[in-house]
Amino acid sequence: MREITYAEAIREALSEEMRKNDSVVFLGEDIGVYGGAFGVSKGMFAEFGPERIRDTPMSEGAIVGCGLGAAMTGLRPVVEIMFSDFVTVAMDQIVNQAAKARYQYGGQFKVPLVIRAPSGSGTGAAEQHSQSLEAWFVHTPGIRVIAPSTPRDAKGLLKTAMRGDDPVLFLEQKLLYRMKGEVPEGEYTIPFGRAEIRREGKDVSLITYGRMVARCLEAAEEVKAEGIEAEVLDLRSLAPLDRHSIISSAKKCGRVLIVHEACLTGGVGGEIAAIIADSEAFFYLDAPIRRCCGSDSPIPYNRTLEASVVPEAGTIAEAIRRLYE
Amino acid sequence: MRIPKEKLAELYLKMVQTRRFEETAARLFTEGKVHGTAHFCIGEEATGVGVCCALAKEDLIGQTHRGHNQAIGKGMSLDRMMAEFLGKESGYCHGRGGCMHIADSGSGSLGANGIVAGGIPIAVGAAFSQKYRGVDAITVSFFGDGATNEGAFHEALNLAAVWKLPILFVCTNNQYAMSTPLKAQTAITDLSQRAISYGIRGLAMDGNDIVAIYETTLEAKEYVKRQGPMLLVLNTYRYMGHSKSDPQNYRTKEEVEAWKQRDPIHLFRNMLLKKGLFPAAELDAFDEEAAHAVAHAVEFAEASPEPRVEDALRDIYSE
Amino acid sequence: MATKVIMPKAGMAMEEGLIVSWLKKPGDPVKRGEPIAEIETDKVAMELEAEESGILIAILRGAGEHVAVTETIAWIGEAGEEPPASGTTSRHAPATPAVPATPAVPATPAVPATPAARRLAAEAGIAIDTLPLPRGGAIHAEDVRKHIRKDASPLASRLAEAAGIDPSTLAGAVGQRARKSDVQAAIDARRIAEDPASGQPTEDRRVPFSAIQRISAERLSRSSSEIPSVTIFAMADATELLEAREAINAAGTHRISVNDLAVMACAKALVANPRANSILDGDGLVLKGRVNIGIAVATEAGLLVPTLKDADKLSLADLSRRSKDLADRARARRLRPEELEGGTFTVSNIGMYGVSHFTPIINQPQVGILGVGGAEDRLALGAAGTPVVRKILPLSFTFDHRALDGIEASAFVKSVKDLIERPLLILI
Repeated sequence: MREITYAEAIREALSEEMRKNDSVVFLGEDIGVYGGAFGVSKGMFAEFGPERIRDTPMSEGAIVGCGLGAAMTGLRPVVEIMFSDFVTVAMDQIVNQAAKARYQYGGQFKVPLVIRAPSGSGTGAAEQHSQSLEAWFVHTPGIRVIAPSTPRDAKGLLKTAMRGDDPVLFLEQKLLYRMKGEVPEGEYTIPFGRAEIRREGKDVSLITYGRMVARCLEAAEEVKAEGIEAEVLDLRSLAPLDRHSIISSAKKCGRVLIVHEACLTGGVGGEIAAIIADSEAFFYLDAPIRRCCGSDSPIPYNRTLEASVVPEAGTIAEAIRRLYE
Repeated sequence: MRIPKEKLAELYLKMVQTRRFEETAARLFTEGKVHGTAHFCIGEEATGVGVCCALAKEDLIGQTHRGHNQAIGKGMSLDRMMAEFLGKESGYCHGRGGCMHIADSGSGSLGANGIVAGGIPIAVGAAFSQKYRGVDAITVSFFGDGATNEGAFHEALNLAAVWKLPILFVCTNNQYAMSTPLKAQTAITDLSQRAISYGIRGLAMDGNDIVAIYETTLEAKEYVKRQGPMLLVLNTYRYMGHSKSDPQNYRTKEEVEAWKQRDPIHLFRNMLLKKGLFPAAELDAFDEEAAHAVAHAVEFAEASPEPRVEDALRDIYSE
Repeated sequence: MATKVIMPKAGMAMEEGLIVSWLKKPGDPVKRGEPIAEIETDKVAMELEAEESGILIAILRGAGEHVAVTETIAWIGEAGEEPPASGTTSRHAPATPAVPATPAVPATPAVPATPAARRLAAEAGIAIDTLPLPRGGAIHAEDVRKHIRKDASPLASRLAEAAGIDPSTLAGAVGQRARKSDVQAAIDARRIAEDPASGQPTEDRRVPFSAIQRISAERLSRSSSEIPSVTIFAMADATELLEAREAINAAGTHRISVNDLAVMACAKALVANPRANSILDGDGLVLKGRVNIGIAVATEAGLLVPTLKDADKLSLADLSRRSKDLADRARARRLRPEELEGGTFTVSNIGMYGVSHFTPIINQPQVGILGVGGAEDRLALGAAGTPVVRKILPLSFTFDHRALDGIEASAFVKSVKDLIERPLLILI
């Protein structure tokens, strides 16, 4: 099967949907001739032109709000926010407006709005350009939150987001843009709320998403030599969560380690731990449910410090071993 | 008088309906039948009614939290509005939104917004959608003087201007943002001057002169379709407090009384009588018709069932 | 540097000792020469003295456990010191205390064990507090599996794997590794189960004990040899009792069994004769405050004895309902650990098999067990001197003669018999 990058996969999803459906428009800063801050929309301006690929002024609130108004009146906009940290500038339009419009107005409006944003740390962009803020939106009813870890998943999930009638926050880990992976030719979508087992195991369940999936796979290889067969469950979809897969993996293995780069306290990991503890899997737990997550700190600039505040394969492996103490 | 008689009748009837509706809702509130708080536009009827009566069905409006005049002007049902005020299943939003979040996609309303200025970018998006799809219609974004100081106002006007979108920004300047008078909010006195910074046309006028408002809107519509956004500031006054919980200790009774001398309904009625356009009896008949319509709305709303608790989680997502 | 406390060899032939009770708990200060536990050999009871002063930092084996001589049973060290690691090469390093379990019956101390361990123990019919606590003190699933079955020998493991048999299900003596012969027996048993005709009827066939049967065998052995037991037989006229039972059941709202009535009579009799509801404690009796009657239930895997708590305080309807529930769940292997604990007396009813009198064996540490046989018709002389048929219920009371003398035991049996013969008094 052919291999393309995560960024190319996203571009394909956007382009294919735009070709199929005239009501899809793409708004964002520097997405036109420039091709997007991370190159995701390279070449799209030439194909679709300035009416459909719209460079906006630097006004995240207006961009999202405009996307919302257009979504409520017959279009299917995709909005790019240059760094997911900037959702803060558009918070009212995302949380008070987009996430509420359907419910608040009694179901009169559908909101087919996709907000894409590069997320996470590792590029030296420091405190204000490196955050992982998914927990805020998992905690906001009315909006879906998606965090793909591979090019194949990114394409399939983005198509589902673009074809749905709910607002979606689509988080793309920055360091994954250049990752290559197998992506089938032809049409396919991946539904929301369906996790994927990346590695089958029976001793420990590593529940994770985004950039940490690859690190969990490395850690699983490391502990295999010690006789521990770890299962790696890639959530892909954070709202809705695949509760069934989470519970059955935890039940099967009896030991659970939840891994995400977003900081520990108040992170999505706590929600997953609570789901497991309040399920039939509880009676099969042979160790406390643990989390191996980002430190509770802003992301520092220095390269070494930046790496030290998120889990690495070694720290994940160590955490796995501690489950056997 | 260039305005046809049916239109004059519509303008008068809708203003009176708005006045009765607001007074009745205020009474129901004091009787404890309206949950939460409520914001009334008594004194500002000419703004919403005047603008909306000049719009076509395909034109869209984004309303303010107190814009019941905008709703009535756009032809929304008093029954379903009142039912929504009482939180009933038969309300426009099935009791989910209440007074502050009235909406009717069928009438071209994008909904009232509880976040001041929150609806302005959304209205810009609707105008973008109209232009993109090539429909022959405009969007009107209603907001108050306070909203013109929110970031969303600036971002939205700027974006609409640079994209030349078919949107009419209507600022109902009732001189106060809750309790803060205009001069404490901003260093400029004529809010229409804000238009200059976005490179669009701005106009300020008397917000109690419904005829002027109606005629200006007709012109503004055509302008906006061809030339892009425009900011229309309607200077008016709010008789009641910001909301029902407002003790109004920030303004004097004299000020309120002075404005009441320029009551928009009285001004219009007097003009119609003076010009011999309608006999007093016909205007009285309109008054009665409005009173009946509002009474019917109250009956309808009170008799309507509550939404079911089992439905509380309906419509958060598409399925 | 911590010092270990071992089970001392207190006699030439002593191979193991019983920890009767701990006089100190973890965290307590101990002084050199101070008694810290009571231990018992087969000949003598004695106090175990601390060899060093310090803090008792860990207890590895609990009261009621039999421990081989020289095995470490506790550690004395400094406050906050961790006992040394076991030095095993497996990945089961010193356990960190798990979340403490919810306490069940107050008399039983809460045992830290993982949810998986508790589930496995309950499924196996094992009270989790009878398992040895691993170093550091939390019981994991593997500990339960090991208790049921020690690891198989390498040869046995290979054979078991080749035959598709889970080694942890292999039977064999408790504490012994599974051997090749155990695997072979399991293979044979499976073959016969799949095709009974393929069995070789003329040859000997080994049928291994289940875990419950093994543990029962051990306990019965011990009870038999340790307790000077005597069995008293009696016959109670249960004619009216059985009529009363039929009348109750005819109403259709309840289904009372003969055993329910017998258990209820027994409960009341125990209240009136507290020495029969007691535990032997060295040189005295502990008269138990509650009347918790164990009801023997035959299951596929062996005899289980779930406990009916506070049997003297239950109405007949409640007692009947709870007994049935316990019996059903015992057969389905769904008893909770606390339901197998805390018994103060046992009733064993084998009357449905046509048995009359028998000599039941006492469930230690109890001092008595009432056996109930099947009611039989007997001719008797009625008031007018004419022959009448009466229904006679055989009773067999085995008691620990150290706890009850003949008179006390007879008084208890008489109480039971009187209640059975005047059934209305059971219901008061």
